[in-house]
Amino acid sequence: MPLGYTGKILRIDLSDGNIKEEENIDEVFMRKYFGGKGFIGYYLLKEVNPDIDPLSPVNKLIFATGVMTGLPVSGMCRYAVGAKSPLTGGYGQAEAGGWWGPELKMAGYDGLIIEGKAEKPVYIYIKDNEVKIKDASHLWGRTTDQAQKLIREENKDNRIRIAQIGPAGENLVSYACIVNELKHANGRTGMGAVMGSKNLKAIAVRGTQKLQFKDKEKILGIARWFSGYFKENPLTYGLYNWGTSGGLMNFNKSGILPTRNFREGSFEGAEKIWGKTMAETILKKREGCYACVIRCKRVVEVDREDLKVDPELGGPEYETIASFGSLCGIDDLELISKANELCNKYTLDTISTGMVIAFAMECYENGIITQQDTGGLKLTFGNKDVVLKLIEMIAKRQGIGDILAMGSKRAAKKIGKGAEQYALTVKNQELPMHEPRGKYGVGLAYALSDTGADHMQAAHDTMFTEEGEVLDSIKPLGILEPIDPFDITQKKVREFMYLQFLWSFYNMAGICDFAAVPRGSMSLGKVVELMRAATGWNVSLWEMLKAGERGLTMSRLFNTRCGIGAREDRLPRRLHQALEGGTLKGQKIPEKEFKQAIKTYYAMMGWDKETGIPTQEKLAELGIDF
Amino acid sequence: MVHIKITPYLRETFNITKETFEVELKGQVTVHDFLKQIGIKKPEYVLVVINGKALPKTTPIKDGDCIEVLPVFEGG
Repeated sequence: MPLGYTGKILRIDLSDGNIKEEENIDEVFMRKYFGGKGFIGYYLLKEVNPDIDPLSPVNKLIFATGVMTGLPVSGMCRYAVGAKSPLTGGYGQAEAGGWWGPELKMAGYDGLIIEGKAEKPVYIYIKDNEVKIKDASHLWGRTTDQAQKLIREENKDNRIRIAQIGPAGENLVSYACIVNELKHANGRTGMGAVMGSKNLKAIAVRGTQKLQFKDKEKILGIARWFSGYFKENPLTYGLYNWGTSGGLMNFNKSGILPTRNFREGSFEGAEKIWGKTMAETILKKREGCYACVIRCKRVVEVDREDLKVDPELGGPEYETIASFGSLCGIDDLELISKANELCNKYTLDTISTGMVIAFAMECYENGIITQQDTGGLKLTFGNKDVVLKLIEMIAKRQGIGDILAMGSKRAAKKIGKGAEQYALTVKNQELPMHEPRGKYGVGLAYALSDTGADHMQAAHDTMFTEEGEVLDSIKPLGILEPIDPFDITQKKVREFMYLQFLWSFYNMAGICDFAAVPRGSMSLGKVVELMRAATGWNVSLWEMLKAGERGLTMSRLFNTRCGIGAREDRLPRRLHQALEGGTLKGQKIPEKEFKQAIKTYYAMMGWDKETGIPTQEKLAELGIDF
Repeated sequence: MVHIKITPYLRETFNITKETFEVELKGQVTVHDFLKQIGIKKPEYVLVVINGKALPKTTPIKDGDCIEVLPVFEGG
């Protein structure tokens, strides 16, 4: 009997309604790929022609839990969604927490492969082993809160967990996301648009089966220990207290808070929008994902005459606060919370949406787009009147929103007149809210990420600048000494690569980066213990890191086949130019040394040093033979 | 005299009662050692802002400095 996983992956063809279980999901398969990125890389490489249009029926949308998803322990809740990305044109993937992943496993499945395209809008209903494709014509066009209510009502079950798209996904916005429980997003790379292209509105899941583990007592013991210990570690206790935006002031004072489209690194309005201010003003309650005591999620409520924010849609995370806040020059936390609510209703990735708006603002301020183009909107930084309107226009593809819905890089090409210099992307995906000019390791992450600019490739290098518990937590990886955030030598590349292996593995297994070290407080030893207690395998840290490397190499190989490689592994020009303001004013990433670091990374990874293509020997070592 | 302000939940973690207080500076001391003197036993978990700017913990403290202690925080 499978332990820690169900051994079942469902294949659902929306074109003909055929539903069947995959064969050969055995222990060897699971222990090689673990889930998440492992499943997605495997099925994309095996089954998806790299030349396809990502929004055509032949693309496949893969929902993948991991072997740890659903353990009754904090942080073991994650799942990933993957496909060929309409935003990057290559490997697409986005992860989410919440409750949907564990629910899918309790319904009896480790993952879903969605194929084809339904003739008319549908949703998939899974209740344990009963799987149905249901009509969603009456749900199409509705926002997530409306659709969730209707799906629960018509199935007479308020405990159904729903992953779904809103109008932005239906309208194929390139950076549309998938949202579960109205507030947990598979945010990046446009997975919501792929779902929309298949006429698939939602996947509603209800699972009542108990997951089986090798040593449940051991697992519960670790869960109990963690529920006390997490408060002793300021990294996890901080997440509870102030949520993910508790670090915003830290970034501001350090000069690394993206401000006005990454022109500056400090924002004069930071005090008004950070996590402490939220906790003292609009915070209604703290919420957690499945089984998690950290409760980093915020629920906010605003009830002004001119502005109301529905707490059902959650509250803004750091990325959202920075992208609609400092990045757009806006210091109004209530307005930012409304922007977050709208993005969750329409299913827009808040990072890309904020970045696209900041891009438009800089174009406007430089006369590249005018009020004639915007339908009368004055897109100046700090203009509170335009943000909510632009979100609506993007989701509904109205006016200039139709161009901005393409993503900033493609929009810039269409607009012309030099707009491209203000589109800050890697592989067409907009930069997240971390300033690499103050932490060069994050620059490596952005440039080398398989999904385009991504802040979740590896723990950030500012965490490892001095001796102490945080550095100690990763010494078992072989990272033994502090490294300066402005270092871009071979030492930094090695540190980044090892940390990337670890987070890639967490991603595959379904583990939250906020629970396990170095960002969380569960040690590597405890993670290994948990893996063993869940599966009964004599798994080792070495095996886990190798699996992480395998995941990264598979996604790289898919990108290679899509024609994405060394030419795309680079940062936008602005990051090699001096910061114009803030406490790090004048700082830039040295271009020559950075390019050398990229080549060093290729060589360390066993990829061709010039082309960045994985060598046959490396593929053989990792068992990637398809 | 050095003026200190510590973030609320860090005070809880390190069992420091006051949010703001002053300490008389005795001799040459770095930020790292100063933090330990005032009860922050694990300086790796904090970011120190001196007179409005985040500075490394090897920085020497000067009389009259205003020190703000914020949590180290990454990701989001």
